Amino acid sequence: MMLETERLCVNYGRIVGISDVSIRVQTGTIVALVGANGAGKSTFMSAVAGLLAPKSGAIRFDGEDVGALSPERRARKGMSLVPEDRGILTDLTVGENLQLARSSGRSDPARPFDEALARFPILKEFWARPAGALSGGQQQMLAIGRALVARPKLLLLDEPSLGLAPVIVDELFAAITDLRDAGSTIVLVEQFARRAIQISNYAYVMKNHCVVAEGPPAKFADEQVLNKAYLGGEADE
Amino acid sequence: MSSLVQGLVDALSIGSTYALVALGVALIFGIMRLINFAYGEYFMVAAYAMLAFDQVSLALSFLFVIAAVVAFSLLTERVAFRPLRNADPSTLMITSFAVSYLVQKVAIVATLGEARTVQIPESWLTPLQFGGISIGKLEIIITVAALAMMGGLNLLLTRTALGIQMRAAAQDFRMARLLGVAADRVIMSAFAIAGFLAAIGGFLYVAKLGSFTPAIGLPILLAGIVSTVIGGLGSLKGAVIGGYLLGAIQVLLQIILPSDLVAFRDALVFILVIVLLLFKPTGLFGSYVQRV
Ligand SMILES: Nc1ncnc2c1ncn2[C@@H]1O[C@H](COP(=O)(O)OP(=O)(O)OP(=O)(O)O)[C@@H](O)[C@H]1O
Ligand SMILES: [Mg+2]
Repeated sequence: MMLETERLCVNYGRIVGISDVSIRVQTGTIVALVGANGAGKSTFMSAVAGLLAPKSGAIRFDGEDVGALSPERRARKGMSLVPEDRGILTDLTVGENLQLARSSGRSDPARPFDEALARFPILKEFWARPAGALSGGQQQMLAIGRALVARPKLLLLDEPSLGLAPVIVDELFAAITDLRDAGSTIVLVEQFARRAIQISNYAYVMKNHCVVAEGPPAKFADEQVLNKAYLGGEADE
Repeated sequence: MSSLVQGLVDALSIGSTYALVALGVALIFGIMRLINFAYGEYFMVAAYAMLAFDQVSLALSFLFVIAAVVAFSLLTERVAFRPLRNADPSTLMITSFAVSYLVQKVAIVATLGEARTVQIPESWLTPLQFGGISIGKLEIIITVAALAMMGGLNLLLTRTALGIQMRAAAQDFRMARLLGVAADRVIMSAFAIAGFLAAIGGFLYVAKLGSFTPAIGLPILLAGIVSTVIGGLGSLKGAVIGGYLLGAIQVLLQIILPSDLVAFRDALVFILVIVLLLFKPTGLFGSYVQRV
């Protein structure tokens, strides 16, 4: 088990973010986490990565309770969150953004950037450019490429398809599947619920701060099941 | 001609001092969103540290000042600012006022507020002669030292892993941490560097003054804050340019103002700053807007 949360509750002051979220992520799988806007997906991801302190509940990462560790300690243990806003450091160059990911101390000392550059050749071409000069799609490639430099045990992707053109989204989903097949463990939060579930090994649906449905992709193959879980919420795609 | 050259050198040396202070202020602000009003006291510590080996050894004195101010800077971070790291900028700022006040009062009690003098080598004070034009040697030393430190800082920030981490943390602390950057390490580095800048800047400033009281930090702090505001809070380049601009304006006013108006020089400087901010509220190179 790569990640396991147990009845995780997170509040923003007195506002509820998530409530009693228990999720299990097997090593080498993609777990899809879907749900309507405001369901609590990003809150969950931030809490797992250490940006938000849980009110109660436990977070076990690779067999260890990491609930009290700082975000940087979790990164050093092998967690990489690509946040919803991508977190591109626009004042730095593309190359510096990638180099920064070596801070986790997990990158390959000899060839730290090989995998990221092979997967996203555009990053090599734009190496010396300010990252702020990249387009939205290119920034997303940088965000994911940067996470890969840290060779994470667990990759947390919060809406990687946000704002991308359909062709690019196709490439992105192919790349995510690829990463899993190469052994990575991934939690994938998506608005494109159906597609995310399709490439996943297991899926959770959140609504109103809680998990309301879970199961293997086959369970959601029937249109009705997902719609019911969203309870008339936004349709996907 | 001679006074023109001397005026230029004065502007450069005063501007250099301001630029160093402004850099220290901007560095800490960039990483912690703290406007450190205690920064003037780092210069005061430098001044008193110079007394320890005064007339014993200049080199020893220099090293001791660096050690003392860097240590003091790290101490303020550890004791005063770290416990408040997640507090909002105004809380941090008020804390820095408190630190400044406390340290200054301690110095006043310890010295009864009396002035102290330091001895610096005679040779630093003999002006250099360039074909009939004489230029103060200390002014040149100050300018060269400041430029060297800015160059060094620039290299550190662009060429080293720590520097890249510091720039990343200045832009987006949360993301830097998500990538494994240790928060304590970058913050302590920023304070250590700011302390180093204050040590060198303070050493040379006091050498030029010759004597000082516990109040030595205030004008220097004001100049540093005004410089960073001119250049734009959060921009290191802006801080340096703001420092030189402030130095140049002061020297220029000193020269052109009729003698009975010179007393109002600083008032005029502040009016100019206010006018600048009316047109460009973020300063020349600033982009910082209060986060909500
Ligand atoms: N900074 C915040 N302060 C207060 N409440 C917040 C904050 N961020 C999120 N919330 C609340 O927490 C709940 C969960 O929000 P969250 O951002 O996790 O949803 P999400 O599933 O990621 O939505 P989206 O699909 O729009 O990204 C929402 O009700 C939201 O209003
Ligand atoms: Mg979200």
